Amino acid sequence: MNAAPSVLVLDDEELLRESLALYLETHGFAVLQAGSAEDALELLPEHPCEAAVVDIRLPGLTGLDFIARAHAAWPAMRFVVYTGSPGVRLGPELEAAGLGPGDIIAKPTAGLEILAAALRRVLGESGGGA
Amino acid sequence: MVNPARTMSGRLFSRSVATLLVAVALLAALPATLAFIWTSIEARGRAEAEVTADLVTLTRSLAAVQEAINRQALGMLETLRATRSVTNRELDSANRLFAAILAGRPELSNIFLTDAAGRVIASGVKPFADLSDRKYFRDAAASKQPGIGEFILGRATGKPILVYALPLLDDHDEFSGILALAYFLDGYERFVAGLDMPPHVRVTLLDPSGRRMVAYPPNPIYPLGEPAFAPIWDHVRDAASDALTFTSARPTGQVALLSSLRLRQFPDAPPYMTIILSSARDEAFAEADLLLRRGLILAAVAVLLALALGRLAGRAAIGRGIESLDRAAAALAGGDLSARAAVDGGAAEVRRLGESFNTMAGTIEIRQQELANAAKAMEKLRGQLSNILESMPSAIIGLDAAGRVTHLNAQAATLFGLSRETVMGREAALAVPFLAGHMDAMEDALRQRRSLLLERMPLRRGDDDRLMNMLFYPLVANGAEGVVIRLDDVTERERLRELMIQTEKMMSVGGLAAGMAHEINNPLGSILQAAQVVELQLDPALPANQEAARKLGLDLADVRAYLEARKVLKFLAGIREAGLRAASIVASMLEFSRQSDSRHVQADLRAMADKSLSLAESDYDLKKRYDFKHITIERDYPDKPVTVSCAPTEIEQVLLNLLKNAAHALAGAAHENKTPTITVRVRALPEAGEIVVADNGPGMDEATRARVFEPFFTTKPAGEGTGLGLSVSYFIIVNNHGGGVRMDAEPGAGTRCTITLPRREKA
Repeated sequence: MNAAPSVLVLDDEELLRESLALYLETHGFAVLQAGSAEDALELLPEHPCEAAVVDIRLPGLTGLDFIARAHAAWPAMRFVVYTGSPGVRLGPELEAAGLGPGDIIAKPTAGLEILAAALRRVLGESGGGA
Repeated sequence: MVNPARTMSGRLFSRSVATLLVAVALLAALPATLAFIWTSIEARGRAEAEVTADLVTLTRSLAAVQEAINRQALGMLETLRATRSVTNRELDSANRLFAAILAGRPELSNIFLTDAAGRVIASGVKPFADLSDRKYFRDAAASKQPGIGEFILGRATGKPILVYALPLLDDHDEFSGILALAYFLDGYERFVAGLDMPPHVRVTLLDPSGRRMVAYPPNPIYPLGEPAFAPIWDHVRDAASDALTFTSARPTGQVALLSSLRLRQFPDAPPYMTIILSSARDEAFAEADLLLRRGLILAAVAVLLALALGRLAGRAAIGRGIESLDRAAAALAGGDLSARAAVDGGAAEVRRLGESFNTMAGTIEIRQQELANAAKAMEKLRGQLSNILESMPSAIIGLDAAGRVTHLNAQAATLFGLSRETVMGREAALAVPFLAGHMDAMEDALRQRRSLLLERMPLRRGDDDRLMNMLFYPLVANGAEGVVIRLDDVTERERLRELMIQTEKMMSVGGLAAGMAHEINNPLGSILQAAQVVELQLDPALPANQEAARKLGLDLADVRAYLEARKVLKFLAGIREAGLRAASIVASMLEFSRQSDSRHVQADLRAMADKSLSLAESDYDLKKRYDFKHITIERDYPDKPVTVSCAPTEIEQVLLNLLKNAAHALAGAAHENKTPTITVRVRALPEAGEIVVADNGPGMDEATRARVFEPFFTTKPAGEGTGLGLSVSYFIIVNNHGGGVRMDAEPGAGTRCTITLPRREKA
């Protein structure tokens, strides 16, 4: 079995973040948690991640800001947007960061397996990183 | 009161023109005729005077002649008395002398000499006779004056004679006889015949006893020697004056003008002769009468000519024109509007009359034509109006002021299930029960003379309640009183309006939801995720769980048994499901706030239909609840793509919704020998694409059908479905795509939802 893929869960809601992290860890991911984009950007250089589940509405920098910066810093990094805000659409910035229509998942999701499946998908697409 | 004079003049002038003209001509001829008659009477008088004057002159002439004769005769006798033969009574020589004189004087009948006893002793003619009985003898013997005899027939000649006697006296102045001279009276006749007299004059000489001595011209009615016509003779004899002019009847009965003169030898002597000249007055008047006759005839001819000319002229000037006018007027009265009077002749007034009549007739004809045209136009208009009334989608009922039905269009008849024949003319409240409750409104509209609108009046039709808008419009124009009632079925409109109100509500709700979705979704996410992770942490198959349990000295199987015994796991699942439903409601509510931000692309309806069908087949929910695999799917697609402008994912969502509903309907129905079938039909319309999702399920009643697009309206049991599926679909199609959605359903006949989408995006 390959090393567990490392993923970042970026959400300011602790219960959400921890439950998702716990689920992903249980299902074979190495999870890095961050409560804000600033924290995440600080952590990432030391704990690189292959993918990130990003909430959009965050204190400070938004999820979109984070994706733009992270993508600029680590172009191979993949993103799944997981937001409860109804206004998030697949715009040019997100497309530029490699997101597709299926990569924006409305919060709450019917089951966390949907997020796990989305992560595996984007990680699989990134090719031989595994 | 009738004015008699007017009546009379009316009667007089009411005759025909011809009669009046004749009367006028006759009246005009009357003065001329009177003038003729008067002239003639004058002429008669003049003629009478002239004739009388002529008669007097002639009488005097005759008297002068007679006196000349008398003097001649007496002169001759005195000459002869002085002769020797007479003086000496030498009778032979006297006989010879007398005969000689007679021979030279044919007018003389005899010259003779008598003795004192009256015996003829000498005579020019034989035989001698005794003349003592003769008047002339007795007068001469008695008076010893010359005497003139009366009418006698000569005893010697046997002819009528007049005798002049000269008494002879002897030396002692004793009467010794007479010397006498006798004239033939026919000599008078010859003399008178030789006179230049008017032809009609009759000359009569009468002796002192009134017997005719001479009557000229001879006529058996006036025999000589007989007494004259008594009335005339009596008049002349008894007159004081010797000369007379007078008028008397003749024995023939003729009226005659007469002139008479009594002749006397001496002024005091009795008349010895009377001269009477007469002329028949008729003859005197003849000329005047002839003139009168001629005059009258002329007048009559003139009148006749005048009448004829008047008639002709009248006909030419008036009659023909009037007749033509009369005929034309009669024809016009009979309905022949093209009748015209002749105006080419006749008097100016008649022509003008004719022209006026023609103008009038022309006007009438034009007016008639206009009337006919107007009637035609009116008929056409009536037809059009009727068409309009019948074609209007509204039900129209016309009532008169008494509330009786005067009009009922087809829509009204259909609406109330009435036949026009049974309703027309009847009281509206009785004929149309629905109106009975609204008669007050009608009366208000009529009284206040303004239209009155009653909105959303419920009309129960079987078990189907309809909402009617009623407009009462008072008819006050042109004096026609009444009310027109327009009824519009606003049920659908009202439901749509309700829907719109609901929709607007939902849009504001949607806006609110969009604003707070994040705040709701995050806690929801926490709940759901926490619940799921709790389940995960309780999963006895997970090594991490076993490890944790072992560390705590717990038997996971016991823990599990406990959780199940206390239904904790079930409640956990309940938390997840309830959270999911809440999330789904929030998601659906968000749909109301979503502007069509998805980009519209040209997409094939067939492809979208197929995608939706495959989604439905794999849909977890469908799989779980309905037996979608046992439903027959019929695709009715054209060969060519039917492209519309849309956001395909939204349309696919709508179609999935419809398929879910159809499946639900089919599952809920007990199919009696019917294969549960969903038909998906795609069709190209000129400007749009159409897609129909139909099932052969139990269908819906109308009340349900009318509400299916209402938010939160659902036929599913509580907890199943959000009641937002069809209203969200409605929003996607109508709001986001400018298309249309129609739901058709009948109980037992399935349900059919028709969606139309424009081919091109609206600007």
